[in-house]
Amino acid sequence: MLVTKAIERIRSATHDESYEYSNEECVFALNTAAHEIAALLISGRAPILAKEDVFTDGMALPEGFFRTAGTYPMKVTGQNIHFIDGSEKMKVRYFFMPKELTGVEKEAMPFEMEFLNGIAIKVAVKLLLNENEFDITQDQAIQQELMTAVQSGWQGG
Amino acid sequence: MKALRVLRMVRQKEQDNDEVKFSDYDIREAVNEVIRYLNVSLANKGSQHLQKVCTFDQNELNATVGDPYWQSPELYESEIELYDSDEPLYGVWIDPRYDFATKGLELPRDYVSLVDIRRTDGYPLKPATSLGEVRSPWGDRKYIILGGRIYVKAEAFCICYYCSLQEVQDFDEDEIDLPDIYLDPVVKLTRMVLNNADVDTMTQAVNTAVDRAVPRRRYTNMRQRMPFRL
Repeated sequence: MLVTKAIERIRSATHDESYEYSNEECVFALNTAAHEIAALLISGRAPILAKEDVFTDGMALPEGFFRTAGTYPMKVTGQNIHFIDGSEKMKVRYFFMPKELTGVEKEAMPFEMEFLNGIAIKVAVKLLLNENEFDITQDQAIQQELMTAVQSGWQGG
Repeated sequence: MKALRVLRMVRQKEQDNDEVKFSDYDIREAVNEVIRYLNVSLANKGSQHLQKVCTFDQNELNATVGDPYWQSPELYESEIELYDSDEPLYGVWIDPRYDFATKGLELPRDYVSLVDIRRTDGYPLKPATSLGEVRSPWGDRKYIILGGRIYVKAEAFCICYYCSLQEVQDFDEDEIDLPDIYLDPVVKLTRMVLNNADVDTMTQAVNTAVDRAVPRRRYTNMRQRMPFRL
């Protein structure tokens, strides 16, 4: 799904005929939503957000690095990685946060799975409506249901 | 048993074939902790799984080391030959050659306790009471273990001893020196370590697993018979 399509859906869900929410606001809300879902998936150790790279001692953290999958003999100080066992290189598996959306033309949504992109839109709608102090109880309940479904899906009930 | 098999089984039982829950480092450290627990539990239980035989030949070992040399903190090794001053050169004479009777031999790293020691001609050695006794004219029938070294007045000897298990460094290449009957206990105990079982529970679980695998006749309060006669 493209980000432009997602913004259209946000506008239709919020009945925003007068373009009250700018594209930038929608993209910001989508980013927050995507990161909220990613954090949920990482807490359930979803392999779709895992990556494997060779780290070298003293290098900066790779872009989007969230946390390692399991522990490794390394310490993270600020944005730098240092190995504590004297190794120079190490193959490390880690979880990453999806890249920030910018809202440029033909940009794709962060998840391959459309279901997750759908939830991201739902969360973004809730966030935007909340800014205008609308009643978001119903949106929150739906989001919670979807999140629970995702969580039980990954963790096997 | 192959260490890699343990790794695969632990991952499968932990439902972590995606390698997102534990890293190889986590599992290696847990397996090594289990090996250390097993070493403590198996030590002095007289399990034949941990008996090891090694032969040491002084002449063979000497063929692998260099000649004696003079080492001086004032000069590099290559400069010593060119030294032609009348001033005495401060330094030490380094002799890397093995001599089992005078310098002894460092015990293997995995040594726990002795089972049997013989010269390679088959003569069983008896314990000496002092190093001087080994070096005496009658010392060729004796041995002594002092400060982590064994002294024998023979050019070659064969030693049988209880060893400790060596820790895993590399899952792809290493093996754990235990028979396959220990596979499930090792996997189970590794999972307990990974899931932070407390120490008492671990000790109990290790002892139960070891007690089942070591023959019952080995359990006796009698002092273990020594392989030699005083």
